[in-house]
Amino acid sequence: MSHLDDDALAAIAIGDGIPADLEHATTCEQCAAELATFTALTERLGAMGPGVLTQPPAGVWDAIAAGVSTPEPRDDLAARRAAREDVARADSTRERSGPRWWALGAAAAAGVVIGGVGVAALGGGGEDVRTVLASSALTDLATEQPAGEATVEVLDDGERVLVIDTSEVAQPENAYLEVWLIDEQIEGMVSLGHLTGEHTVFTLPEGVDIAQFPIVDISVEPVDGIPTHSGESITRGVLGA
Amino acid sequence: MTLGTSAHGRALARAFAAGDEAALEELYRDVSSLVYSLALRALDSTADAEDVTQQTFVSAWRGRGNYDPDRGDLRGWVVGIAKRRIADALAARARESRREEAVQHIHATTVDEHADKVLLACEVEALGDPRKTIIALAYYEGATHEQISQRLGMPLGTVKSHLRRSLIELRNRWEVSDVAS
Repeated sequence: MSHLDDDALAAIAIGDGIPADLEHATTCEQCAAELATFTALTERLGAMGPGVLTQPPAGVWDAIAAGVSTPEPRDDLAARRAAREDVARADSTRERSGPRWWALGAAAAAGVVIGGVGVAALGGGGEDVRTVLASSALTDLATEQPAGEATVEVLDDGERVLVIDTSEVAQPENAYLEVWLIDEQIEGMVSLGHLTGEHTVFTLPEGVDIAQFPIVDISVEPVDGIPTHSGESITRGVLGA
Repeated sequence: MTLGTSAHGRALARAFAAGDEAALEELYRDVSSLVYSLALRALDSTADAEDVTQQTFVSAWRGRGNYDPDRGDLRGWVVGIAKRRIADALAARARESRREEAVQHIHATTVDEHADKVLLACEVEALGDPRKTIIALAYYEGATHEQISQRLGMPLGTVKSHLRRSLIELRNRWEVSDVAS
């Protein structure tokens, strides 16, 4: 006897099989396996019950339509970065994000000292006038030990910079250190560049609000060409909300 | 759901990737109950599920440049974003309650269990009438083929035929969605 076709297998699965087909399915390994996928399906259907699917309220679409019809701000790096993050994370071929990232996020949110936010003039009227907008102690996430300081300053030409002073961060092998500003939900993030030494200055892009992205994050990025956050944060600080 | 396999689904996916807002609206009609139900089951809060649904579609829209219509199923891609948003919402909650590890352990399994059920329910929905009604009567309510035949005023042989074709289609779609997710 030739193998059972889908229709015959489905007939058995709904309890309507022909005796000869039933007998074949008990003796033929291939057809038994095919039948098993059908019976597994009917079992899942039987266990499901009604009301599994719920329509979202109408207001949800209105909010989405409003959200997407607003032109994406030119400097809305966070939104684009967040979207790219989602894409990367949704992409099963890239196993770059995972629980570690969220565990670290929680550690940072819960345990890191909140840095002071304030405006203080440094330099006392000389050529080197800097205004400190915010600062934060940095913490090594592995050891919870102090790891330096991050300071957001306004230079006298109005440019905002993030200054990372850290002596505790060792340069990794086959990887580099990247500096990010991240929002409190650990969803949106802005890459500022590569940490190259004990004192590194990063220019903040226009439109990046440090109140919106208060977490300073240093991550280890493998040299793999993937531009998104590796999930391996080693140092954090929080600039304050 | 026919998004991944039908000609219509492929056309929709291309229109979406090309930035056609009408395609987003159609995608929303097709997939929003799936996304919302996944979120609702995992988060057990209509407000959070609405937020996740909104974030998922806005994220998908803004990230559409990264979706390759030739490479993958659009629905699977959106569900992937939704799952991350659900995980984000759970993580945010965990940060609030500072019980991160406990919650993370729970949600990792429950999200997938919910996903299995909700995805299958979505596939049943996509069968359209009368097949989705026949499946619901047979498996959700446990009606016999004869009872279904009487209730729908449909010949018994037609009921059985619809059931067989539905199971075959569900199995085929399930295999596709397994690959896609």
